[in-house]
Amino acid sequence: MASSKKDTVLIVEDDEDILQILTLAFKSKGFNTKGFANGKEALSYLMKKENTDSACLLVLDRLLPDMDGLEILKKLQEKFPNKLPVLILSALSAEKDVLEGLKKGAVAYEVKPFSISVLMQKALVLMNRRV
Amino acid sequence: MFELKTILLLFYFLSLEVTALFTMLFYLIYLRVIFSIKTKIQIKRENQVSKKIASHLQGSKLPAHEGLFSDSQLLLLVLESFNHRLKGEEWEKLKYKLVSQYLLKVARKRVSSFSWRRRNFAARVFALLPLQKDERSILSLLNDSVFLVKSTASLAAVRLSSEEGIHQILKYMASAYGYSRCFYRDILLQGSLQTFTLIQNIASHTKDPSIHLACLDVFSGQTTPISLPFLLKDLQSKDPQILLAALKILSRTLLKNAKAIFLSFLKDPREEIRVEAAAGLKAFVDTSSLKALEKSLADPSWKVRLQVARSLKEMGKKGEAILRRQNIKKNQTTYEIAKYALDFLV
Repeated sequence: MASSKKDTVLIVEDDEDILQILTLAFKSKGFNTKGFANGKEALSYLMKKENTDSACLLVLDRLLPDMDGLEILKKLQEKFPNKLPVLILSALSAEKDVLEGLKKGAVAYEVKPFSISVLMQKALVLMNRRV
Repeated sequence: MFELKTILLLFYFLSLEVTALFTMLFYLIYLRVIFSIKTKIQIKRENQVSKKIASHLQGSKLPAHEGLFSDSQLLLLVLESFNHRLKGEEWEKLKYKLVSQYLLKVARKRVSSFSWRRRNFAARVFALLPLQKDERSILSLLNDSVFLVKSTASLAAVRLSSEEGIHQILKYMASAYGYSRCFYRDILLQGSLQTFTLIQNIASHTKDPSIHLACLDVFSGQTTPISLPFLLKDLQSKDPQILLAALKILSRTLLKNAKAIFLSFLKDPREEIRVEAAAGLKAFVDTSSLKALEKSLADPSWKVRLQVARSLKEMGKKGEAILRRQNIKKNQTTYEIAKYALDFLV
């Protein structure tokens, strides 16, 4: 279960269905969630310290309507290095894409189509490592 | 009197034209409004169905009859979209329940429909949930005269790993050219290990060289997880297409004596064979390969030279060193291709 302080999972995903599925999945495990459908909104939220303080995980899509998810990751790492575990969820499955994501600071990379159970398991492991 | 008549006639035709123009205008506006309303309703309904499916994915119980799912076309569309994004046990279970409860009966009825759209619907449903008991229907759709029906049915046949279906797809592939050949090949490449085993079996036993070549084309598309006993024989084939495909497979599977085979084909009189041999050698970063590739930098064919330079670049530091030491005074041809590879090839 999530701790009382860091219990918000941030989900940056422009696909409404996936956003809903992930929101429901994390809520069913007792987490709060906050979803963003575009990079700009997500970025302005993530740049505030109090917001990243209360978050325990960032699930990040790469192909957002206004930017590449890696830009968000890069800016987050610049401002708050290694503060928040990041799980990239993307349809970009080539080896170079996965490597690029991991090099920029993501801790895990899940390729679409994805299994909800596998993603949740990875997310829980990442959160337990930190919480 | 005459003038009044002409004016009246002119006025009459003018009013007719204006009426026709306005009628058309109103009709276009009507269509635009109706279309926009229809699209909005469709998006709204799609969202409702998607939300319902998402909630069922989290374990909410599926009722005996869900009104939202009664539009089979809409449900199929949403399920296909989910199927592109999700996998795993919970999704497969829910997909099975929804397709068998709401779509399969309709699809089975539509297999022999007069309308190709209805047959296409049936093929899409079978591609979403291919069941052994629907194999006959899938095979019948695979023989359909409409491409959009048989191409979708071929996806169902591959997902089902139907031997007869895969054989039929290979036949289509063998007789197709250009993009449509790639289309069938890509569908076969989506298959499971069982599909590859079936293709291997067909390749071993077929007496039709075009089908054998189609099988080789499939295996050359990705690293094959199974052994191909016919490969060594194909590497001695006199048919250049078979030999070329076999070399492509060899680049991916790398048999024990692959390097020696590539080295020998690097001296082949046919340029496309030398290109493939040069491509295959990049996996062997050792003295003999590097030496042979350096020699081939002076090949009379620019296609071969380009591939040789590309391979050397991809071989890392040792290959790049060879490219760097090419001297314009000694040999302008090798220098130019080496410089091109160093400066432009990624």
